[in-house]
Amino acid sequence: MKRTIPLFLTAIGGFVLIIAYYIPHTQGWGEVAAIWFDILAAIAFLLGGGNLMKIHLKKISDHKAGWAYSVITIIAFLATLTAGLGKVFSPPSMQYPDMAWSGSYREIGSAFWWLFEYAFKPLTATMFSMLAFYVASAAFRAFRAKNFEAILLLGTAFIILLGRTAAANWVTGWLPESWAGLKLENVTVTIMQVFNTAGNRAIMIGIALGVAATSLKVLLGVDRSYLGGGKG
Amino acid sequence: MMQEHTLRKLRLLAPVIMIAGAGIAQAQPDESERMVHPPVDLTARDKSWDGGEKITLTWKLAEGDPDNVSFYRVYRSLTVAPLHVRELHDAVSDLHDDFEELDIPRDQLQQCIENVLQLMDVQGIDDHADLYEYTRELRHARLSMERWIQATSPTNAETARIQIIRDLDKLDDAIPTYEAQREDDDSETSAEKIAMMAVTEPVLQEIFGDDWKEDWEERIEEIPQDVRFQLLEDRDQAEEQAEAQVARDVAALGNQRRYKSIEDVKPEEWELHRGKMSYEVEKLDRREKYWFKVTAVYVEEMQDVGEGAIPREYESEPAMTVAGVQPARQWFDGVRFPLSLYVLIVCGAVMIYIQIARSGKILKVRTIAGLEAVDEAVGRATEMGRPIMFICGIQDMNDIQTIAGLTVLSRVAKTAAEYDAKIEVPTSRSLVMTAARETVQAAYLEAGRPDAYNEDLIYYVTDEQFGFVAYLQGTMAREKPAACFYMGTFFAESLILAETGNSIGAIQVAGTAMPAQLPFFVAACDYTLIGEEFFAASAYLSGAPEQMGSLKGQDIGKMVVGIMVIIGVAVATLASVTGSVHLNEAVEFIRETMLR
Amino acid sequence: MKKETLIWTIVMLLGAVVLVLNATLRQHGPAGSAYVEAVPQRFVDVSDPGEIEPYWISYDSEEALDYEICAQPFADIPAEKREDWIRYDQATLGKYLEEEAINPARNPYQFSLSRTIGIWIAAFFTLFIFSFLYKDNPFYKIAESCVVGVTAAYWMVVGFWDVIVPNLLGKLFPEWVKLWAIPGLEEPPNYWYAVPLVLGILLLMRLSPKGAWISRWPLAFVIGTTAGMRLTGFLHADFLSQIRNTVIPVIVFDPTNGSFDWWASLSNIIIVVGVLSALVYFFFSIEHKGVVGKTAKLGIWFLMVTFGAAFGYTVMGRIALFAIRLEFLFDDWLWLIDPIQRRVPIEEVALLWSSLSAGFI
Repeated sequence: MKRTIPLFLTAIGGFVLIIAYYIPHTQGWGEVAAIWFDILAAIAFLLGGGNLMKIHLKKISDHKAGWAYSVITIIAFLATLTAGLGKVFSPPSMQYPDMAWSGSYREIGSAFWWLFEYAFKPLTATMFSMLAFYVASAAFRAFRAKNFEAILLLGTAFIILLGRTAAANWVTGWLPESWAGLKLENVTVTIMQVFNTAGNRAIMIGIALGVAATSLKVLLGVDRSYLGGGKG
Repeated sequence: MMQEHTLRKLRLLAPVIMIAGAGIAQAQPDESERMVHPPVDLTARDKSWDGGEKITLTWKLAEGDPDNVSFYRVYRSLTVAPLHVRELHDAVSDLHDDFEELDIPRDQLQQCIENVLQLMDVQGIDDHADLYEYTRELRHARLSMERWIQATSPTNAETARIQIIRDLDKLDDAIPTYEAQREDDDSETSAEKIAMMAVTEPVLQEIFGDDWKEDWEERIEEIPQDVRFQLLEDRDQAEEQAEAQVARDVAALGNQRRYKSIEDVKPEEWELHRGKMSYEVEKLDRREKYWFKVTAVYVEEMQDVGEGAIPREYESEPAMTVAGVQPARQWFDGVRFPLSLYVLIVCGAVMIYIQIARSGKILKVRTIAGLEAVDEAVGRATEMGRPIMFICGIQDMNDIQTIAGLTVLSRVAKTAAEYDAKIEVPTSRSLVMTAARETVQAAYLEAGRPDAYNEDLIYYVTDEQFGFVAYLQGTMAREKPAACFYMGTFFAESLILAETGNSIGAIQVAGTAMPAQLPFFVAACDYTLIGEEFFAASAYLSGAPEQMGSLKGQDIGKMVVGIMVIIGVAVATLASVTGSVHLNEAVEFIRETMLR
Repeated sequence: MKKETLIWTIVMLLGAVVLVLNATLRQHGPAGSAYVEAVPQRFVDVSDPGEIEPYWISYDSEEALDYEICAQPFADIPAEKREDWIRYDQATLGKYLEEEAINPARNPYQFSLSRTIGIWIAAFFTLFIFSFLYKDNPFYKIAESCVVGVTAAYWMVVGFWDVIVPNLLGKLFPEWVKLWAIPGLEEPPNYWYAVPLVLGILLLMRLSPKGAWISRWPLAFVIGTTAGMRLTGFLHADFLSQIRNTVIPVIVFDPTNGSFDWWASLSNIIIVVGVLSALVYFFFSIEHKGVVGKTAKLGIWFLMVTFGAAFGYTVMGRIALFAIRLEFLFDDWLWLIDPIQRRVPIEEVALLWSSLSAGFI
């Protein structure tokens, strides 16, 4: 019972949507399922948020190493949650100025907006921008390419990188017009349009087959690790 | 009440707007020194086996084609507003597709377009604020696209550029139709508005001087009360007069149908031979009836092209459909029939081989280096007494890669349980946390170590991509896991994770189906499961015969692809060499019917 | 004290001194200050006495001309018929100074303490995160703790206001939601949305020790629908379209003059060979030996070139991201570029942010 019903739900949900895909009347069901999923994911926030609180409160009460950072996390978490759910300092919407809750929760000037603008944005954007350094270190390490494949990868990357910058002109700009095909910027385009296209197509076809087989295994109950243990 | 008042008037105004539009659509240069013959026998019929959004037009080519005809212009009758919204939606999603197909990294535009789509989906652009937001986003999208076009080398990527420019035009097309409609609704250009301004303008001008337009809104309180009341009264009067005028105009002109041009089409070589061509009108609304016109157009070739010169067009009389055609919806989507065959072939092959495997036949598969490494990685973590870090991507359970990642987790966790190694699973989604707990718990049970399972090691961090990465980066640097697994959907963070893992000397195995992120994993991880290999991983690791069967089934799918490509390429090449009409029709059939 | 620590301490101290000097010795007040424009928002209810629903319009709009009630000064309108507050728009020091020179008494631009604090916090967060490049340290840990707390809560708030309220509560209890959250909501209830609600409640059964097994039901439903949608979706979008695009002639003639186009032909041959050989690489049931092995090898090379191309293509984008952060530090915070901020907060930066924040690169 504990395992049969979930397996049944999986199969029904999946096969109904597969068939619905071919029937014009029901082609919108996929979108409805997507909205339902969003709702479910939003309800699941209770589990995630609860877990977050639990872990950090435990760290604090156990005085584990670095528990002070858990205090910061909890304060940041609760402050943002209060500011956003309470629409703190959010003015009402223009159409309904008499209704305090009608405004957007991220209205400019609200507490939530402030947290987004001055905490969320700089923190995540800086994290993102660190990629500039990581990309450099990855390329540097790949310079010690051990085999032909690695050389191929790095060489191509190098050509594309040059081809997309002003350096291209500097390196191959002297080539005569009849040799235009060998100019770096043109080589870049050829690689992108011919080689990159071919490789990506094969990858995508493979992925589609992999997805189909994986989905089918899930629907048929061949793969059911997500259903957990326990008898039934 | 003011609102109702306005609404009533708008209804009255609507026909005028239609007529004004008709005037524009039909305003063609009347200097017909050159005679272009019209196409004949235009027929329109509903396309069968579709969702009720297509109508097929067929006509006989005009006399003198191809020498005297450059292309045919197809018009369809206009319907009411909601369709415009839909067109807009389609225009933007086309654009979206372009950017996917051309292998352009998904930077620049994605967000803009998503925003536009979201706005339109949620709101259906019903009020000003939305329209404003929408046009702003669109402007942004346009800006990025133009920048993109400039950035690509001017001599190359011609097809890409053309396609994008065409889409830009489509967007432009969509906005004015919708905006015109809005403006009309807001009586911005209507008689009512004009009447109002005719009365108010001089008064405002008198009070505030010539610059009244700039600051009258701020200084509105300066208008004396009696003047304001007088203004109100005068305006009411002017509005009534305007309404009467509108009613008279409508009566005089009668009710005409308004058309808009939807596409310029050129007959293919083989259609020229046949003397007949057809065109499929798409994105129609099955609640509406449609009328069509087709004209033949000749564009004069320009000898000496000056700055800003526009080539002269000669348009023939239209061929018109007599009765309105309404697209109908059938119970099966015929366009997707070939797709259903492929689904049956692929799924059938997988199922048959699973069955064969279950019957006891041993199916051999080749080795994949990355998967051989899993045991080694877990073993090393045990030896070193350090944890294993497993990350199932940053997407939710509605992504098949996350599910595939969880199946891999199940095997890795089982091995870890057997070796008694600690496995840590931070997740960026609450549902994934839930599912991962189920998975790991089951794996421990299977390994006979249910007591060793610790729920707290599988925990939620944050939904935010870079928040999650910031946490992982710090945690990895502190805990120094001996092995890191990245199995699922990853975006830009792939490189941050892989490089951090590298710097702490962990064995790293990655698997993803995100083509854009594979290079970074390949460059920085010890082993990478590329695309399909990632989906095959759980089957490999389980070693169960039925799972091997599914791999064999996937291979059948690839063989089908190989055969299709070889046949298609052979036919296309023959068609290119011989120029045969029939072969070209065959290529068209393969591409547009069998592979749609 | 270790030598290394000493050096770093000195660098830090010097940095702090420079910061303080930069902040205080400026002609127009401390660097990193934020300025705003106060825009009064005034609204009047112009509905007739008998009407149930109020009808609000902006007192400062053109529409206000239509109503008698707006003909009097705002303060004289009955209190229950008017609402007002002040909206603070982003502005620049440049604007502030400009206005200050003309009309200091009625300057709508003003200094904003909260946003100034914000800029400084943002700047320190930026530095804290970058400090990880040296090594893990307490500053990074602070930033990390904050980012986890803030972002987790951020998406929960978004989930609540953008999903739960309109798509769940709004569908099930529109009348009630209309009363407090979405005033314009005019939709009949759609009881189908009870399904996700029930699934959600089942999911929350996890919290009780006995009910954990029930929470597998919604999970099973989600996984099933996902599998169903992706199965057809991927075969349709990726599988078919990629094959379709590969159906190309390998001998191409120039359409304008009918001559043999060797370059297009070669490109097409490479594409077809590339796709087929890379597919051979993905075959699972055949060992990579002999002819198959050689073909698979060719396939790997194609894949490597593909990866290299994608790698090279993204590098510039990453560096641009870093440049944006530097621009924030040197311009918005330290005022070293464009000191009195004459530049308008340009749309383009906002645009770049919005597209980059998607992270889809």
